[in-house]
This record gives sequence, structure tokens and C-alpha cells, in this order.
Amino acid sequence: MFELQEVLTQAAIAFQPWMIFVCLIGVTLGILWGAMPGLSTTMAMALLIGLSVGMSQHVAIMFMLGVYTGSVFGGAISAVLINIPGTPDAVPTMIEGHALAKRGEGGLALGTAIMGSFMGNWIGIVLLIAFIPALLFLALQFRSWEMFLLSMWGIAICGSMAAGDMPIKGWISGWIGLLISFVGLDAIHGVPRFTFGVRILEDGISYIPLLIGLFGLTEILKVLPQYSPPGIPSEVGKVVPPLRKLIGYTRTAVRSGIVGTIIGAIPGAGANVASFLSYDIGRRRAKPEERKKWGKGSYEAIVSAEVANNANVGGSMLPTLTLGIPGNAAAAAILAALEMKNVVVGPTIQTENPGIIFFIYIGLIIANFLMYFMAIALIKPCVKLFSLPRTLLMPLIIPICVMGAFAVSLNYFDVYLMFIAGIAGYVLHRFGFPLAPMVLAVILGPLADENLRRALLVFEDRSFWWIISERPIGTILIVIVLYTFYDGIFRRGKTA
Amino acid sequence: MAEGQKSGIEADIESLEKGVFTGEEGGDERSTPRKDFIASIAVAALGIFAMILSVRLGNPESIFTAPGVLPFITGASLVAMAAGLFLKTKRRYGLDEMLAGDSLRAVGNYLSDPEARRTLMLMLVIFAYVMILGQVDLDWRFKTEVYTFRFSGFELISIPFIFFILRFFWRSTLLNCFLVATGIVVFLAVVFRDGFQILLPGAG
Repeated sequence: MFELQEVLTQAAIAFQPWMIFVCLIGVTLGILWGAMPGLSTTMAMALLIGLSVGMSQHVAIMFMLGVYTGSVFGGAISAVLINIPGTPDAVPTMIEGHALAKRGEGGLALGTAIMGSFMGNWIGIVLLIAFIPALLFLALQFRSWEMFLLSMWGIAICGSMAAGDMPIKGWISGWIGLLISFVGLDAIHGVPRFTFGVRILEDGISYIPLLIGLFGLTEILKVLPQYSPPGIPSEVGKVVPPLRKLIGYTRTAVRSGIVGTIIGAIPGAGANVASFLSYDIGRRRAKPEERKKWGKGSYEAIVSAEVANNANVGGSMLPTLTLGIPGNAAAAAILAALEMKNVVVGPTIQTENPGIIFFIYIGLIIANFLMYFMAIALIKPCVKLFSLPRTLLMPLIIPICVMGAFAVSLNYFDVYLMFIAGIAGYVLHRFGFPLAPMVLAVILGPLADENLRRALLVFEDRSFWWIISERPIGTILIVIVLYTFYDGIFRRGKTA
Repeated sequence: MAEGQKSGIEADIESLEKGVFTGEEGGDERSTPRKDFIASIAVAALGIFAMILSVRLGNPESIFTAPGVLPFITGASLVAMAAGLFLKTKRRYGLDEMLAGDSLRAVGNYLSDPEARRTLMLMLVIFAYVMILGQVDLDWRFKTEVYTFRFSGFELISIPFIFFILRFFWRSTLLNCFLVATGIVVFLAVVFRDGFQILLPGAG
């Protein structure tokens, strides 16, 4: 009864015209951003955090959810029309959609992608709502030892997921992030760590400028110096979401939605892994006559990829909201926006921020409906946008990086930090190191540090066997952490 | 550009065709044995440095709550990972390939690549932009009955820098570059300052 009242209260806030308008702006910016080749979802999220600084808590959340939902879909537009994926997760859609566009079925391919994205978001949202209570219950059983192990697993699995055939590089990136997170006064004794006598470092390193540097400036440094002609869009025709055709792909959609949500809930594995994995599973499970079409223009393949990468949005919110561990780099930006607006994420989210979870559910649903309509409405403007060269668009993002980094705490030091992070991100990229584990580690570092020291104090007079036998959740987590390293070192190392 | 971008997409397509897992950020940039060798040395040095600093932090109470506990463990793990990266690269490519070539020549080769030169130039220009903007503190206001026009250090510094970057990379006419740079900087300033009430850098 109480919950129903809370849902209605949050719905009343979320359905205010101003809220829907802000969400619409977020969705529109997200779709346009995602559609532009070279501008990723994470980049959109990182840079637009700055814009949410001046907004109230609910407005900021609505805006960021709109951007997230819109940008994940946006990548499909350029993938189908100019054969360049707007975001990396749109590569499968590019393979299938562009082949269809060349046959004059671009409108139908985009309609399928829009419908697939809409369904994917729904599956993600339903599974998010279904699993949050169980995960919150589990999270409340965690004490300092378990929280430490969970944080370390988050960083380790993120490293494994981000780096592919060289998990060790992902772990190194994460461990460097851990070192960065230790900069500042330590939480227990107030001892300055790694500050080298610089007073400003005693406040620690904020992860928002880091996020903007690593996913904004680094992208500019990667993309702008490469000359590329603007894409030549294929004929799009009328965009028709083929409802009847899609009913035949219901099983594929449900399977892909579940895959996308599960992948989203694993820290570090985002929309790219979700769409690639779902596409691969879909191809193996397709009927022989349908399988022949994969790679040459298959609607089922588009459904597989688009449902999965959009279901990933809901999935990534699961660990973000319940454990404070972002499901991927884009969710880290959501986490940053939530924390900036004083929302305490983690096991106590419902007691410390009553109703906020319901607001996020409703926000995701509104963003999904808006995405559906705006996607159809924005196809034609996007075609115009593709004729703009990247050498014109990329320089315009530089002042946004500077403003975003500065806006968070109105401290110019953060702009220097953003610049250093951007250069470091570029160098790490050139050496083949992924960047998401570093951001995740900077977020989780303080949590891991404080909880480890608390746990060690509790365990001071206890034997190793007591810890193993009396803290079963911790023991399970130790096994999972060890398995993550084993899998990365031995199994994936051999296949590479 | 097309080269770099295409190779990333092509790698993704290849991995899709083979059903091989490339990771969330995989297929984007391929490393070389030499780069991995340099990285392993740099990471090991960083790990050792972190361990030394952690030990120096001291121990205000119990060893269990010492501020350097996790930093020390992290530093030690980094050294182990650096060793792992070194061994993995050695096993995959052999020591000769890791050490092959001359470092100075490698730097020279890198600098002879036009794309690398453009990247370095872009870094320098952004560095100058960030440094100069950090020194400026200016906020001019022109009040009219309907609106207060403002011109701050942000616009003053951003417009010429964005103009320069556009001129160099976009290669359009001076007028086009100037109009785009001015238009976008003023638009962003108005949106952030007036629309979202966010203070801008260089604006006092």
C-alpha cells in the first residue's frame, strides 16, 4: 500500500510537462549524439553531466536517463544509412542494415531497429523492476568484507570484459585507477596519501573530470586528427516499424533482451558486448533458411543486436542502483549524476532516498516512449547531420569538455585534471589499454579501501578458517574473484 | 582517419564473423610487442613507486587500519601484472620481437606520420587553451531593458582557439571558421550561463 502511494507520488512528479520536456531534450540530444560517428554513448553521458549541474535532482535524473536511452539507439541510424556505426555496439546493425539499405529497404531496416530498441528497453526495464528487490535484499546482507570483495570483483570483471583477449591490460587499467582513487586524505585517519604536499590534492580526485577527460578529450584526440570524408547517406524512404514482421521474431527478441540485461548487469560489459554476443547467439540459433541471410541483410539479426544493446540500459542500472557498482562506463556517468544530486546509491538507496528508484523506473519508461517517437522524427535531420564533416563537429566539443569539468565543483583544477586524463587516456589507448576499468576503479577505490580496513580490524583476532566458514557470502565472492582471474589468465590467455 | 577508424570497425566485423570475444573496448586499437614491453616496464615502475609511498605513509594505529594497506597491495599487484604482461608478450611474440628496433627510430617514425603530428599539435593547442583560460578572469556586462549581454573570459579565449582548430582541421574559409567558432561558443555560453545557471571558467 505504502509502495503504491510512493509510485503514484513519483509518477506525479515524472509526468509533469516540464519533466517530460527535459527528458525529450535528453532523448533528442542522445539520438543526435549517438547517430554521429565517433561520438559514443559514454562521451555523451560524460559531457552532458556538466549540463545537469544546474538542474534539480529529479530534472537531472530525467535528463540523463533521456540521454542514455537516446544515445544507445542513435548509433543505429548512421550504421544503416552511411555504413559507419554511430556507436561501436551498432556494428551488427551496420552489417545487416546497410545491406538492406542498399536494396532500397533502409526505411524498413531502421523501423526494425527502432522497434527492436523499444522492445529491448522494455525487457530491460521489466527485468530491472523484477530483480531490484532481490538484489537489494542480498546487498543488505553484505558487510565490510563482502563490500570490499565485491568492489574488487567489479574492477576485475570490468578489466576482463573491457580488454577482450588481454584481460591483464584491463586489470592494469583498473589497478591504476585504484591508485588514483587513493589520492587525498584517507577516510579513517585523515592522513594525506599520494598528495606530494599539494594542498588541492587533499580533497581527492573527482571522477567526473576524469570521465570527461577519458571519454571526451581522448575521443577528440583519437578522431579529429584523422581526416575522413562525410558519409554519403543511402536512400532512407519511409520509416515503417514493421509490427507484423516483428511478431515472428518474438522469441529472438525475448532471448536477446535477457542476454542484454544480464550483460548490462556485469560491471564493465556494456552495449558492445551485449549486441555482439546476442548477434552471435542469434546466428547460431536461427533457422537454416534465415541463417543464410545473416551478414547479407537479415531483419532477425537487427532485432538480435538492437534488442540486446537497449536492454543493456536497464541491466546496467541494476548493480549501479543496488550496489553502487556501475554496470558500464555510461552507467558510471549516471552514478556520477546521481551522487552529484545527493542520491546515495547502494544497498540503502530506498531508505536514504525514498521513492527515487520508482522515479528512475518511470523515467526509463517515459524515455523509452520518447525515444520511439523521436527516433522516427529525427531520421531526416540525422541524414542532414551526416553531411557535416567530423573536422567541423569535433572542435566544437572541446569547450564542452572544459565547461563540463569546471561546472561540477567550480574549481579550475578540475579542468587541468580533465586535460591530463585526456592525454593519459590517449596514451593508454595507443598502448591498447581499455579506459572503462580505470573509471570504475576510481569510483570503487574509496569503497574498497575503507571496507578492507574495517574488515581487517574485525578479523584481527580471527583465524583464516573462521573467516572462510563464518562469512559464506564473502567466501563465495573470493571464489568468484579468483575464478575471474583464473579465467582471464588461463582460459582466455590460451584462446588469444 | 579512415584508416584508423576502418581498422577498428573491420576488426569488430571480423570478430563477429568468427564469434570471437573482443571485449567492450576491444578491436579498437591494436598494441605491438614493443609497446607491451615498454608498458610492462612503466607499470612495474609505477607499482614499485606506489609501494614505496605506501610504506612511507606510516601506521597511526593498528597495521590493519594503516592508510597504506590497500595502496601497498595495489602497487604489489601492479608489479605482478607487469610481470604477467611481459611474460605473456614474450610467450606470444618472443623476446627478439619485443626488443627489436631502435627507440629513437620508432619515435622518428611516429613523428613522420602526419596524423601523429596533427595529434601532437592538437594536444599543444588544447594545452595552451586550458592554461590561458585558467589565467583569465573577466566578466563584461551590457545591460539593456530586456536582456543583460555578457562577454566573459570564456568567450574571449575560446573563440580564437576554436577558430584556430577549425581553420587547421576543417580547412574552410576564414570567415566560415570565425562565424562557426563565434556562434558555437556564444551559444554554449548562453545555454550554460543563462539556461542552466552554471558559472563558466574564466568568468570571474
